[in-house]
Amino acid sequence: MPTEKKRYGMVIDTRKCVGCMSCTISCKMENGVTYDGFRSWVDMTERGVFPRVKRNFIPKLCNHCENAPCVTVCPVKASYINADGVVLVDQKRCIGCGYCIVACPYSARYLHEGLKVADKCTFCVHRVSMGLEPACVHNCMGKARIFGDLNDPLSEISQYITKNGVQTLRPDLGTNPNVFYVDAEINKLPNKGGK
Amino acid sequence: MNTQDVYVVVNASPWNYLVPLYIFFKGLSVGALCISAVYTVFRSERFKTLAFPAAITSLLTFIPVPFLLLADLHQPLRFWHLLVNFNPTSVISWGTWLIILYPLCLLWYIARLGLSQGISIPILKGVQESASTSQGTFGLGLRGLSILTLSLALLADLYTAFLLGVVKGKVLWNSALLPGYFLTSAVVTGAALVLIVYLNKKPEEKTVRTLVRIIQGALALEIFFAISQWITLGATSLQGQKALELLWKDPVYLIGDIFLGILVPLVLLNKPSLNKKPVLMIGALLVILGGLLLRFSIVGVGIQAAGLWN
Ligand code: SF4
Ligand code: SF4
Repeated sequence: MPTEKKRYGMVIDTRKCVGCMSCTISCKMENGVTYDGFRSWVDMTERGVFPRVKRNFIPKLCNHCENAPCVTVCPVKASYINADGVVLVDQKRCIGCGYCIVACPYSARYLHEGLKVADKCTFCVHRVSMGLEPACVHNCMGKARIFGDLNDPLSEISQYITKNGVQTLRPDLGTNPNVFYVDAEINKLPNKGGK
Repeated sequence: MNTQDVYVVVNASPWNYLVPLYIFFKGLSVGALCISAVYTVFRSERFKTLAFPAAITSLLTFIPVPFLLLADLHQPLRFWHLLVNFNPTSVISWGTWLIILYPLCLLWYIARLGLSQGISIPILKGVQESASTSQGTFGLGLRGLSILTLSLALLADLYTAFLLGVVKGKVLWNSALLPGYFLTSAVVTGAALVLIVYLNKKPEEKTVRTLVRIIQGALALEIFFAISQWITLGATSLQGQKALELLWKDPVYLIGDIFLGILVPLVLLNKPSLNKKPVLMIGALLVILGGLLLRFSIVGVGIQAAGLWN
């Protein structure tokens, strides 16, 4: 049975991602993300030795960490976790010190050029509160993203996690992300061409 | 098996040159106060003539600090949010109060020190008058007041090292060495500035020699911290090795801080004497430059190194 309290999360099945970037674009359009910042993006790496080379797509966004460093460091409590486990920024309270942006180990935050405050993925709370999916999930042509309540064992996301092995980004940091990956080339090598 | 990045997004850090400048000026102020405290806390008579100019240097170098902090906020008019929304888990929250309390205490200390040396300070007249009574200093003598001011100063300096040190996944910053490194650099830059100020007054040979010895000792300690950092970064993890590689490739660090800011001054400040005033001045200036460049490289490379792993 689902518990009263929701805990929103996302699973990204990288086997289904084709690297089309429609998540990146739809997020930008939905949330007015400025030119030089990203709430959602797709990293690409190539692995292997010719002729056996594979390109990997790793869609990224805020991990809505349960133990969120950005929330811990915010000096004015503008970064907070809402009742549904979504990490948000109170734009009226934020002083734009940038500490959370530097403190996020996933580079998931940026300074909004227009608003002059920290900005990041909100799991599209404005859409979710109307019963819709986040824009990136809605527009994912490969259906690689599953969004839902992790506290509900019957939800699609919980079932997906049960059936597929999942991993999170940088579990060594103890941030307890609520974004999970299936079959992702992560946590193995440095980004910049390590061996 | 090779892995090559084809396309990787790293959102830009909003921190710019203002952050290292802020840390640098705060360090200068704290370092100069440490020199003043050699007389007021440790009662070294040799530093008696130095104590007051060092305290004034400390105050003057603190002036840019609040402005740099404000300028670094992208919503500067909301600075008051810092005062009404204290977050106990945020190092900045603690630091905000430290950099409010420290200069207030410093003013009080200067007034009291001036009083003890028969120096009247017109703009601090009221403070000096009240400080002349024991109630005015809450029963604290000059020594008690200097211990209080020095403690606040040290905390105000150390908090920036912790501010960086607690950030997860920034391997260059996550080091127990950083507070000691920053504090040593603060003392050495503050002492170097006090040396420049003192050389332009009526310097006494013995005092100059002791001051230079303090600078040399602190520079040696900085070398120790630098080498310890290299060894621990290089030996512990692949992330550490990559960070060390970046640090060594950074001319601001290697040529600026290590060579020009430490090694050259160690040579110039060798066998100090008042006959070599210009040489001592150049040495002290280089020490200050080195301290500034150290802040730039540690902040900049720390962010850059983490970008490889996010
Ligand atoms: S991914 Fe970054 S921004 Fe998102 S909750 Fe974690 S620390 Fe905060
Ligand atoms: S930029 Fe805003 S949300 Fe981030 S730490 Fe500073 S005040 Fe908090």
